[in-house]
Amino acid sequence: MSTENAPSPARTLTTEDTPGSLALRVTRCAEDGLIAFPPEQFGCQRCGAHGDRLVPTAVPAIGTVVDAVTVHRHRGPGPEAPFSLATVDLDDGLIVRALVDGGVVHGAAVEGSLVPMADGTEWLVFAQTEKGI
Amino acid sequence: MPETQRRVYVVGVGIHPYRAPSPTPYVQLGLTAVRGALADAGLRWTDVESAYVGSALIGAAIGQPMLRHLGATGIPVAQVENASASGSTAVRQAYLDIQAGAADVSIAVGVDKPAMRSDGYRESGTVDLVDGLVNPATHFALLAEEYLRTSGATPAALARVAAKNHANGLRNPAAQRREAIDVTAILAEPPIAGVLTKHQCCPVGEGAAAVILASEDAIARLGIDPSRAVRIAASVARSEEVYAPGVFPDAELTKVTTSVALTEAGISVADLDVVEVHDAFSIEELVYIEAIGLSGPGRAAADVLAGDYDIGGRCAVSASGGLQSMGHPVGPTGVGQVVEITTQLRGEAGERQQPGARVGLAHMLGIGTVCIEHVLVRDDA
Repeated sequence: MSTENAPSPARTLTTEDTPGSLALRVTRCAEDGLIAFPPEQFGCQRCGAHGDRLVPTAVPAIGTVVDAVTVHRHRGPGPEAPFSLATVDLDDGLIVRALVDGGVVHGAAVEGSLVPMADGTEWLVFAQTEKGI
Repeated sequence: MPETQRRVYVVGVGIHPYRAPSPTPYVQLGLTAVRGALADAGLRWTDVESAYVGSALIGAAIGQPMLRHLGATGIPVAQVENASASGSTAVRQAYLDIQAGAADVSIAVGVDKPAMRSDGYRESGTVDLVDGLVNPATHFALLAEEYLRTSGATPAALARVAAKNHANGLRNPAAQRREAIDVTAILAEPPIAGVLTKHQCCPVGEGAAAVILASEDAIARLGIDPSRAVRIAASVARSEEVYAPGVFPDAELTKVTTSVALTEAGISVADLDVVEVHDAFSIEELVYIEAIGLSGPGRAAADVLAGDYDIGGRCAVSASGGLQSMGHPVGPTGVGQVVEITTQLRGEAGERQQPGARVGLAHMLGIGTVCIEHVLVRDDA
């Protein structure tokens, strides 16, 4: 849960080096090329390389919805149920789970942005782009 | 199996019915199952040479505060935590003790109460985009969405799995959710996540299960009835690897584990008469039926609708009621699967008996992810 002094996980996990273009922070293993998100901090899950062999990089928060479902019951921080959650195939081939706008379905082209919720927490939410309409 | 490894048999089973959480101490739950297993085997506690306690939710060091009430004999006692596969892993540890000759009689006990405060993932230092938002129902609702989209199956197939398992559980006195409910009623329930409704999601409560394993030497020496001994033909444990993006890890892990287990047991998938799977959510049963190889890719929904996996069908799947009806108290769940298959292979399952059952497989997953499978065979049938 975010506080005044701590950035939200969504902000920690993303970067906006180019204004208006959000990207996910990832690591790329210098040994076997495995891309990891969340960025790997302990060791490559395929080959075990660690430390500076895990190179920080970024993947644009742009992709395609694989599947989306409506969550009807939820207790805890973040959005109030019902909300939509999806598997998103990023254009770089990385697959993540994230919040999506309601009504987004399989095959939709989406782009992520940071969205504040009523409870003060901040989340990455993917919305359909014009390309996918 | 190398010649030096000994054969291992299930000789006693016991269970404390699964149910909603109550004030009853876990000690009482566990002792009920252990005493049941001892009585079933015709053994005394002093015959047992090692004990493994599978539990994930209560906390540390629950074995001896429970087992000492059987008379503290000084045997090795270890608690096994492996998430949902804690009980299955306890069975495997007992199996390994017998197989290696470290003990002639060993017991695996699963016991739990839903008291967990945290888990390894939460404490691992890793955060992601959906922390706290993706509970298991949502995780499996996404899998269900993918399965329905790619196989052409309808939500009715998922509901048919749940209806079958609840019909089976209605005939199991140890089941937590003994409710008659049909496909129409299941589909009419308010959704929890995606297409998954209440009766397609397992209840997590409390309970206990115990199995006593023994060597051939012990069966002869202790006068155990060999006609009720069921051989463990394979005990296999595997953990998740890095798979291609988009692959559902639990299914891939199940495929690998099953392949090793069937080879170790020297059987083919067509030999299986009874199978218990990690059906915490209806979609899981369809996915694992295919991963085990009982149905071809994309065929499980049609085969379930055709009744292939009903009691009396070609292979009874979740004859106990499965996790959806019998319940998923976590620690006991994997042990309870072995109790069910042993009971089925003995021909003692009463009104939920699969006719002619002689080969069974217990499949359990634990988040992380690990997969444990046991193949049980009745040799004299």
